Amino acid sequence: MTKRPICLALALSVVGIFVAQASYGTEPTIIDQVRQRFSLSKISILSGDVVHYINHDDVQHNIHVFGSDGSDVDRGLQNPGQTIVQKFDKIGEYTVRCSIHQKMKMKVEVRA
Amino acid sequence: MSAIFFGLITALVFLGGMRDAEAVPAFAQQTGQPCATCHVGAFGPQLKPYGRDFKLRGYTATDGKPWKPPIAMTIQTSFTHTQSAQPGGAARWFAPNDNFALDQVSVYYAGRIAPNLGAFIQTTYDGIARVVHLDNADIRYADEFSPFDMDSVFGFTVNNSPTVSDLWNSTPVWGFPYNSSGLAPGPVASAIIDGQLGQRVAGTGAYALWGDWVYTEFALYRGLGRDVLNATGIVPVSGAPRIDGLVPYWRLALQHDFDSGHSFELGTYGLHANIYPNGDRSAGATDAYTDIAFDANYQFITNPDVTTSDMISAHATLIHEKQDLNASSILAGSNAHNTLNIFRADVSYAIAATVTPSVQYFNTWGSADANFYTSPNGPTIYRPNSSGFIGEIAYVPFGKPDSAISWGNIRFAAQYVAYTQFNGVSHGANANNALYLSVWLATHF
Repeated sequence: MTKRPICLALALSVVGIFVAQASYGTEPTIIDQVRQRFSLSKISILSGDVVHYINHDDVQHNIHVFGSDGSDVDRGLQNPGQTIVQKFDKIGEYTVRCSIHQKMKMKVEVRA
Repeated sequence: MSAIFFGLITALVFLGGMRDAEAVPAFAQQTGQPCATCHVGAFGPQLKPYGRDFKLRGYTATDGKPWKPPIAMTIQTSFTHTQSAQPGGAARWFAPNDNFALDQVSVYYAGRIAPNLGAFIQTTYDGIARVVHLDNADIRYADEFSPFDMDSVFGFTVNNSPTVSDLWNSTPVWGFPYNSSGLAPGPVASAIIDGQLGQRVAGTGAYALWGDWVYTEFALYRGLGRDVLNATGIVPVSGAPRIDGLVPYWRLALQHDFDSGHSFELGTYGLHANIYPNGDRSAGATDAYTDIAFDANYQFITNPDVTTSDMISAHATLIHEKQDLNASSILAGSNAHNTLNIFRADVSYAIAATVTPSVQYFNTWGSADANFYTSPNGPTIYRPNSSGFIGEIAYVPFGKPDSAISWGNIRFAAQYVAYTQFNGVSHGANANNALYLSVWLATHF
């Protein structure tokens, strides 16, 4: 009789760990755009993760994603205060740039 | 007539259409950025860190909107009062004193040509000399590279004036004052690198910014032929100095822009030129000029989070020129060897990118040589020494992120030049002091 609750607790714990891991994997990464720079120069995320780019500057920015496979996604203009959400599905290396402020760039590594 | 035009321009600006805040001339139209993003005091040509980066990368940054021809126009009008009237008129077509003038009207191609290729090409109507001529031109190709894993930028430039390609406002072409009176008397002596070759040469060079710390540039210039000078409206052609051979130009600078809002630059630049004085080859020799200069820049943006935050900006340069006057000593009886030194230092404080007071100290000194510095119909000038101060206050109402006008900008400025020494004479130097009131309009098409 005492073994059932223990087994149940163990099972729930295991499930909980998986759920926690799954939710950790989908937790958005926040990148602030401040003083015409990205807050991080390199991040490593899992395939399917999303990155939120938040423009804290008082001028327009742009999110332009270049993949090592030659892919090129221009998310267009980003007004002050605006957040652009970019999902990275495909495994690989990406460079994210602002085409207006060419010094602004960061690397994104997308893993399995 | 000029006074009417002066007022008309002002009226046009304030009665013009109101649109969303965006930008000024062609660069601003291309990037969607207001003037204040690139320029101290929200008006060119004094650059902030982003403006330097934009130029470094070949004027190619864009907001991604469809390409439009990057054509812009500027108009400068002014009033000049000198402490003493100038007998015979301040210039041809002008009165001895208190002159209104249409200083210049310029049309620019300024922006991207291709993804890594851009240009700044200025054509100017000079309202004092009343001629149209090709003004500053700088065509660039730029790209990134990563030596030793350092983010770096390299480029190539084709331009028509040494230092026009430079990123800092301490060097001659883009130095303070950013506009000045063409109707006030000015010192006779200047170094070759201090604007004397502007638009009379064409050259190509390579540059690189290594790891955001070290800037290098090397270029070779050649004098333009008479036909080209005539075609581009550069006057005078006859009797003007002629350049012999190639003119090497070099630039080396240690620089960095810090996240805290501080930025600095310490550098050197220079050139060597062989010149036939007044185009006269009869001596069978040239005058050889070697200019070696040092410069420094410091800027501090008080709040880097805000484009219009207050900003202090300081520049200084020291130019030393060695003159080996192999031709002039034969033709005009000048000394065989002279030196000329020029020092300038200025500081400005831009308040909310709107009101910018500036002050500059300048000093030119060198060898005494009346035969070299005296022009045929001018007063005898024994020494090239001139010194004094320039005070200026500029007001720029637009060019900020929240500005109502997007199609242009305007700069009102009051400038006073005060001499403590003028062409080697201290007593009475202040007779050349000048008050210069100007209105500078910029717009894109």
